Amino acid sequence: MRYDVAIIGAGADGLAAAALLARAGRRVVLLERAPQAGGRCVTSEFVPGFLVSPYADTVPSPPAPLLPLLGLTHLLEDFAPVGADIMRRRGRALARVLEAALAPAPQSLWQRLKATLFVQDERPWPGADWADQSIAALRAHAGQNDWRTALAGRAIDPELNGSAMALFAAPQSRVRRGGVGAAGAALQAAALKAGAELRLEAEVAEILLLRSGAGGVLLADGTRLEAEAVISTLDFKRTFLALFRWSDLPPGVLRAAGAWRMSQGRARLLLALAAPPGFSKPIFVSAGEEALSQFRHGVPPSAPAMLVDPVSARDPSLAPDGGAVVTLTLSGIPPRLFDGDWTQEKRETLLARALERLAPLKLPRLVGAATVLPADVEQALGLSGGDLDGGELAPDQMLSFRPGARTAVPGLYLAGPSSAAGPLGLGVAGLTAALALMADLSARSGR
Amino acid sequence: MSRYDAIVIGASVGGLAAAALLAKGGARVLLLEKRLAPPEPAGPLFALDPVLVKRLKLQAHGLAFRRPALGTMLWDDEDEALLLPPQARGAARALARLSRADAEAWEPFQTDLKARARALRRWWFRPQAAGSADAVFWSQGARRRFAHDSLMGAEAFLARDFESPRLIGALMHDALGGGLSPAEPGSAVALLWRAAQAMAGVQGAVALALPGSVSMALKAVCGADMRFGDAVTEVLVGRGAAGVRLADGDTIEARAVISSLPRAKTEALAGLARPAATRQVGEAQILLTLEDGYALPPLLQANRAVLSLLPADYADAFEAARAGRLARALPLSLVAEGPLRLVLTAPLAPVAPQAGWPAFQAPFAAAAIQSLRRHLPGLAGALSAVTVVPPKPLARGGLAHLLAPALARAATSVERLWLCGPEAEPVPCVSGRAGRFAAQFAARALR
Repeated sequence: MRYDVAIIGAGADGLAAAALLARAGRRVVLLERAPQAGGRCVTSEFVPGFLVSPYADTVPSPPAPLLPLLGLTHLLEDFAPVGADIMRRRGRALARVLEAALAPAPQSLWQRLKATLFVQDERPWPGADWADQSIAALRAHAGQNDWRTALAGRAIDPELNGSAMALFAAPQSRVRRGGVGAAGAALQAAALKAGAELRLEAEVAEILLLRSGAGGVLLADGTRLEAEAVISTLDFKRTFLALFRWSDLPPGVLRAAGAWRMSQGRARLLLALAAPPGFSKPIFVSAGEEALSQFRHGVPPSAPAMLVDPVSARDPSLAPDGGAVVTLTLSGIPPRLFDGDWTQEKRETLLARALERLAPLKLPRLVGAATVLPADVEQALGLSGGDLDGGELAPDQMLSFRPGARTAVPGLYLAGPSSAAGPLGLGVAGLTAALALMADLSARSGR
Repeated sequence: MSRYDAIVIGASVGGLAAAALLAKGGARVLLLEKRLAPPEPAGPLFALDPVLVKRLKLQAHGLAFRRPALGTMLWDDEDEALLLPPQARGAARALARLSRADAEAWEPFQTDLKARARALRRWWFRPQAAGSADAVFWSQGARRRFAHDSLMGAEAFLARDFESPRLIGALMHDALGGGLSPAEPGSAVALLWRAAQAMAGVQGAVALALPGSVSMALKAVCGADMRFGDAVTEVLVGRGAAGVRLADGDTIEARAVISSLPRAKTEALAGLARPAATRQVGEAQILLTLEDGYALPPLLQANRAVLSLLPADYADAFEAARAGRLARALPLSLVAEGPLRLVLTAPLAPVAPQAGWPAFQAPFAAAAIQSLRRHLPGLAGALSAVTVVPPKPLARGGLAHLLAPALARAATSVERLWLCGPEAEPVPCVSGRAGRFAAQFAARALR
């Protein structure tokens, strides 16, 4: 059986790309390693009766005009008041990314390489004047809570020049009801309704490289699926370093993928409480002085920054009657410790320390708790280093310095969080890759 | 009618150079210095400007070198000293002890660094470009060349080529010059500037003149009128700089003024008290005089020793300096100015320590001397005098300062008032080049 497009990963990006391509009449197969689709957009029961979205309570807001395409109309609401300046810059960045996707594909290998090795176009990217600013310097610019939400779950020093880039990824939306899993379900429904085929528990082991470029995928169980084109929603590193024989790739791509830096350092502590807490709005707890240094040296933080979000206060469907769900998003958690992995004992210490710092909030009795560490995210979602941003949000890794949708391998398109559209909204990278692919396919058939 | 064509404030190397060149060009110049003699720069000269030396025939007037070219010797806590000779092949041989891959990467890295540095110098020397860092992003050639690298931190820049943390840490030392953390965008440019200076030096990258001979030679050739012991209290401003007022009440008129003072101080003298963000981290010097009989290691006579840290420790040292604390480990470089005199340069020193410099300098110097105990045993007991020169409160530079062309760096908000001091140099150094440029701009304005 031959498909037009094979999409690796049925997260938001994969589902969005599948919906768009299948609606355009392409034969699409979605390959997902996990037993359910949705990627980070899942909500599950972590303590009997208590539901939570383990990876994130919020998603990066997609631009309003794209919501109907994604099947997310009326589902999302904006979370933090966002500075108009940030939204304007994001809008301009998105326009640039879409423009690049719809432009004719570069033909020569050099042009393709250049598209992969950053700098998609020669014009300055929107935001260049922010490149060497710090969040601290832009506090007045950003909305009241922007800079704090930009920091939640990231190991970024707000005083350092360049940290302002995190504001591009800051605007957040949350799902009105049902946790972010509802958004995942809506995206999945849109993809299936459009006619895409979804294969769960189908792990891709290799991208088949024919003379003309990517020609399909090889699954871990040995199945060979042929396709005209492949969209990878994995991050930049994993796409090139894990799914190819390195000798087959142009050396520039390997070098770029190797030098790509992952960061973030987010951990989530999920608490099931016997009664609602005494607050209904998120509370930000600042980091201790040593937090960033501990992150760099791989030491469990003694006083990490935390965003305490009583999610069930806004969305009562998550907790049983009388109960409550509170999530803590911790910043600056090293993915690996200097002395090895996060053992069960260290996880418990992390939880105990966090609860200790929350003592002034007088939380009700704990019914159950779970920890989600970068290693868990890496294992569950396949993101290198558990980085939901797909790479450190540094100025040399943002906007046009992120890899574009087209890659140096003809027929392989990069969606996923590492791509230029990654930080600009949920599913936007998938749509961008699908648009670039359709533009290339129609150009080829027209010739 | 003006009594003088130009007034130069401060007999620093830059000030003396500017006065000498203007006077040589036929202008009537007055040099004012607060102290009774020109202050001699302590420590090594970074890339003394060859054009200056040649045009003013300094070597015929007493400029002499103890060491025309200092090599680099890497010291760290764990291993033997590592000598990096200027020739790439010798350095590669020395590096093979650390890592084969790094030894192989050394020569291409140096070639690439030099090519970039050459391009950067062209950008700096373009006299008509008065723009800011934004101009770099808008200029096609510069953008293609620098947009990506300039936004990188030095650590990421070096990690693309090298794997050994010791080598990366040692090379990062040279990127600290601009008062930036090695993670900040622009610190990679500081590295390029060091390379550019190394190529532009009259002798080697780092030269050691005979004590006093630079100022002496410049003073000998300086055809300007000189007044020592007179402090400037005001820069008179008419339509542009119009003269100075001295502490004794004298006013002297001139058509142009060149100042060796920092930007904020110069503009304050001209009546422009704009609150500018100053750098929190700067370069401090510790001058050590030894008692007779202490034998310095022979390698130190011909080399600049760099006491480097591991990459993650630089970030800690920077954070500590920013907070006004004493860092756990200080990066240092060390030059033997004579058999009994050592000059220590600490690039990550707090500009405003919590305790204030008078109270802070003793523990600071003690920490620096303590960190040398392994390489210079018995040093603490052999000291006869210790002087600490605190960092200057320079304006917070960042990328805008590092990428600005010479005119933008030298110009102030007052017409015909130029800087030739530390802030007119891209990274701190004593080269006299800023003085030559200021003289050039002044001469053009006087015509």
